[in-house]
Amino acid sequence: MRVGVEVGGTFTDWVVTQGDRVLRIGKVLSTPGHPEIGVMNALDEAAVSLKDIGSLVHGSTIATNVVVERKGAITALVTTLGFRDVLAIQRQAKQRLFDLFYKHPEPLVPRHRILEAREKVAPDGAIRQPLVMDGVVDRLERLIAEDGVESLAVCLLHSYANPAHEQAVERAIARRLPHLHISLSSDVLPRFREYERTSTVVMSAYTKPVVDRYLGQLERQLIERGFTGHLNVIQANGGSVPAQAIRRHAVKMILSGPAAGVVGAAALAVEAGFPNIITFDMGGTSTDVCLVNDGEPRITTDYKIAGLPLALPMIDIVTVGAGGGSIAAADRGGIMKVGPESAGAAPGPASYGRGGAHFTVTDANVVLGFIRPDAFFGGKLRLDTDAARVALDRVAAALGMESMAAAEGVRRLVNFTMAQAMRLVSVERGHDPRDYTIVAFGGGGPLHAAQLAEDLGCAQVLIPVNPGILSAFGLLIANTQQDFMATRIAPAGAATRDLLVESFEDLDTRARREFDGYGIAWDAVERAHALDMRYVGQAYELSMPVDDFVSGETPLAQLVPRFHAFHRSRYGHASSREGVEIVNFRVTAVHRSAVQRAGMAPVPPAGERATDVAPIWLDGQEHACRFYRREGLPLGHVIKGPAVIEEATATAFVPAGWVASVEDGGNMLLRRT
Amino acid sequence: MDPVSLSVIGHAYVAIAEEMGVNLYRSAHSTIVREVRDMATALFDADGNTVAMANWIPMLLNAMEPAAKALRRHYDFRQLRADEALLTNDPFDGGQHINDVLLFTPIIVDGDVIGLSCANVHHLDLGGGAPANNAGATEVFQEGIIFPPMKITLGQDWEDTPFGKFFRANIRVPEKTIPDFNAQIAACRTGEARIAALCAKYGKEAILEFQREIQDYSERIIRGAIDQIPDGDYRAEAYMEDDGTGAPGPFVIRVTVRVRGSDMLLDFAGTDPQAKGFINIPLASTHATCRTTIMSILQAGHLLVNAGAFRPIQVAAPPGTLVNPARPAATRARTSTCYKIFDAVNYALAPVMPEKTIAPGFDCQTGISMALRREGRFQVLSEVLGAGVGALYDQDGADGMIMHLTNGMNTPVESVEIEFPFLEILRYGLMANSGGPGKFRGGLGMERKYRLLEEGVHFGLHSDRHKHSAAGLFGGLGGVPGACFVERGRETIHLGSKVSAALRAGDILTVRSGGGAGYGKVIERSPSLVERDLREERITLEHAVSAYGASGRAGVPA
Repeated sequence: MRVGVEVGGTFTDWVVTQGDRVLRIGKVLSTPGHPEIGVMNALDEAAVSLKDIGSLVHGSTIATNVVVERKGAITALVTTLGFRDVLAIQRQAKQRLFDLFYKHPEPLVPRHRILEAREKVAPDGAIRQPLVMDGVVDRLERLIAEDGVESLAVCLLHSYANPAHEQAVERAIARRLPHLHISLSSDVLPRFREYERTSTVVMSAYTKPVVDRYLGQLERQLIERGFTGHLNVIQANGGSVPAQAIRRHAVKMILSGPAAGVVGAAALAVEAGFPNIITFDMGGTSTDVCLVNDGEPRITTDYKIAGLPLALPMIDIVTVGAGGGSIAAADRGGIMKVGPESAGAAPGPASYGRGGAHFTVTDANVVLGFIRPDAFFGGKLRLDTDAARVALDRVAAALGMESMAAAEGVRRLVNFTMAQAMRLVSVERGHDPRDYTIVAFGGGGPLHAAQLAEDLGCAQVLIPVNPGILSAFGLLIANTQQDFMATRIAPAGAATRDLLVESFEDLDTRARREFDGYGIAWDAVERAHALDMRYVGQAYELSMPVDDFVSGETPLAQLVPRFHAFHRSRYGHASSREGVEIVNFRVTAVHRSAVQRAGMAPVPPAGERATDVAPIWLDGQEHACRFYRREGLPLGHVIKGPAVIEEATATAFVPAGWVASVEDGGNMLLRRT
Repeated sequence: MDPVSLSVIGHAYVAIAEEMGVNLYRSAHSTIVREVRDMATALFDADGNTVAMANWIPMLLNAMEPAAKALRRHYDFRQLRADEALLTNDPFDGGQHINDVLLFTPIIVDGDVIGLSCANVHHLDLGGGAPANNAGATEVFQEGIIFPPMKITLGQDWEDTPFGKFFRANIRVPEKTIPDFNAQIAACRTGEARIAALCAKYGKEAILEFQREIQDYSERIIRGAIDQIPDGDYRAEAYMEDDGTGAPGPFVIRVTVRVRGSDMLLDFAGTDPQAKGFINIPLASTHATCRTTIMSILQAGHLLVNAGAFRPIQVAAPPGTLVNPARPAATRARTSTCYKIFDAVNYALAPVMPEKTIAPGFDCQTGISMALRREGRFQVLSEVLGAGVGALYDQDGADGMIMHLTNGMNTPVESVEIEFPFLEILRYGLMANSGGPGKFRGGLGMERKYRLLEEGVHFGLHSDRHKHSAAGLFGGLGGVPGACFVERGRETIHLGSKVSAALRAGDILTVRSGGGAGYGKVIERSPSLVERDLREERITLEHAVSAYGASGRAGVPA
């Protein structure tokens, strides 16, 4: 038996599977502060005996929260003499113009906990100044006594080219201070650009003890209750790894939950025959979107959290502050804005009737008739339409608009904000959204997806069964995956087979050691090879798959021409006169998950096909609209828009000109006619 | 247009301008573009009014509209055809300093020009008397090639053409500069394509209506903000210490900010005549500085900054002065002088806007260049050093950050050492004690220390405030000035703030920027802030005692 438990900000979702079958699903309230209690509550609700669980896969916001809320370990940093302020200076520029009060986001390590070691490695890895530790360990001991330092990051210049000095620092410190957590930049991110690398290794050191403690507690409690299976955790690259392994690289757990959603959506969509999708996960305060090509989520190394760079390979998820709780308001020039402020769960939207006075996206959906007061949350929370109207009138007056026009405006604006996020992951990265199907999940996704699709020119929207727990399901689908890279700058035109084979062999050796540690046989591990390349003189590389070059299938003479074409497709121009260089070698090692079928649930029995008609407000007038219960719709059933389809945790809207059909596996497909 | 559509299309415009810029720096080749991001991208209406701009260098962004207006005197934008482009870097006809080349391309929908797409890029080297930066220049001709306002057809005039060959032959680093131009052209193309797509979606008429209304919207907000300032004439001045030629300084900027209702005039009557050296401000840069300064003091949001926001703000810059020099004045180091406008305007408005204005930061652009010619090819590094920012009414100035008119990023130490093997960087960090004391102290200045590994590297620097620092606001004191010196064996050679010099192998070169000025009186500073600065080694115990009167032990103020 396999169990997935995903801890989110509001809910902890769970799924139990046996072989290819989903046995049960559900969700309980999260328990912020002690998320492991929520996990235990989920397991109680799932009513499974812990000794029957072969593997438990976990996703959690813990690492994300540690950074956002600044609740990480007290951390120190060792740098090269002369470069203590790299972390404070950042990239020196402002992230917001016309703001005289602007300051950089506060670094995770204050200046007095940054120590300098006399040493210097040259860019080619040669030792320019041998390492002298004088006094570093003594000062560190004092910081442990005075500040309670428990974690240490080490980032020396050019350590990607030669990690010897970082490793020597680690040895010298570990000998005297064996209990200190130590993270090396050459281990976490062996890549040039000192600020981004320092920021990443510091974040790693900062999150490690907290995540380590949390997973330790969780594991202990599980074992006390009889758990003997494997505990795995999902990482930001969408791969699942044993909890023991993530405890060394805790920072990879940032964005764990949203990554699981993308993995779940991708797997489900591939099985349904849609390899190219844009995932659309709309929650209460924010929306996450991601582009998936051929079932593979796009990866980025250019991510920032709370303004601080995290340059590890991560699923390229764009988050915008637009959700059901996003607040609508008039700005000082009289134009409407929606979000990023959110009414949250308390007091919540005005229609929750818990004292919220702000008009939110959910309130707009209530006033416009898309969400019926009795049908929300499976009837567990009866909404107050009048309270929503009062809040609406106030906003409309401030904007000088008719109330219903303002309510429609809120929907339009929040749809626009979410569509912009989708444009960012598609158009702005060289992909045409018209080639993609939107997969809508989370509480709000199905209600807004078709209109976003119209905006972007997408012809189809796929709504999974139980869209609310797709992330938990993604945990079980996720493959075991790790990324390995090395910076080795070389002219691409002169690249030899030996260079390729040698560089990738080094990475393979590291990968093999890692997977051996997981107890996974090496011949069951697939590898994908890529080179980060650029024109000589550029600063930003493009990561280009090169499996066919590694296998010898394509001659190396094609490497440079392929790069020209690759660059042209991304930026619209190429410089065939300019030299091309290889910067980084990358290997992604994958062990496929046992659960490959994404069948989310048995097709629900055709129940009572209850339909009724209620008014909705659309395009400036009232329309009679059919409302359906999703559970009552049999396989193959087709509904013409405009229609609203309600289920326990989500509501879907099918606009005029669209049809919805119930597909194999119970997914619902919305198509433009 | 309804408030929802205005918001939707407005944000789409800003996002398009951003996308243009991201494509530009990611595919550019020189460090000055790809790392420092000394560039700007924006979208205009067909009359050359700014509609939306991206989040890059404010000075470059706000200089685009004056350039468009200058080009419009020569060309009718509505007659432009696809593949045509307008170009200028002429400091006396819409341009800024020579290195900043503005490129405009028409956005054509159904045969009509409905707007312009623009990218403004600081190019690494456009020829002239020294690589990247000629500190001794006394005429614009010594600073590089001038492109007067001109129209070219990109497909037939660029690269392998007489024009392209001529250009390539006159610059030092064509293998970087030509790809940078290509990235600039591609950025304009991105803007054209995306705005055309917006027209297809919302209709051309709606987009034209949007262009008008977003400007009215911004004007409304900015007028509302100016209206809050009491009517009056507010005067102040600030100065440059020298102009790089040894001529006796100072060179003084004098401004009167005249507020009447919702209108504002920045009058520079009384400003010193133009200098012989390269510190003169081309008129477009004077406009750009005034706009950036006022938008910052009024805390304008990003969506707001377009031509409408500038309508209530007039500038009077007397010809022949530092702020409106006559041809052929040299202008390469104009940014440091622009900061004196920024300081003078803040000084002038501080008495009536004490919670919005800022004390002077180091407020000089510290531009460093290193060039080496090897086997007939030049390698040119051009980078910008941040400094201490001025303090505000409720916070210390930022330590080691870029100043507010510009927004150049630093070049990673590792990038510099990989790409320029003729030098090594020994230190890059903050200067303790350099922030001007006050209730809130000024930010700390910075230091970049290089060791030269080869003979014959040409070093260029333009900065200022190496002798004196500017006073703070409401009793706050000035920070520590900047410095530049070379250690050669046992000798230390002081180089001043404007340098063009040959260095030797083994030289250790130090460039320092100064600290920002404080805000409010020293005696009002909270002891806990002094303690924090001591703990974090941003000040030493001696400084705590001398500047804040802290008692000797533990740094607790007496």
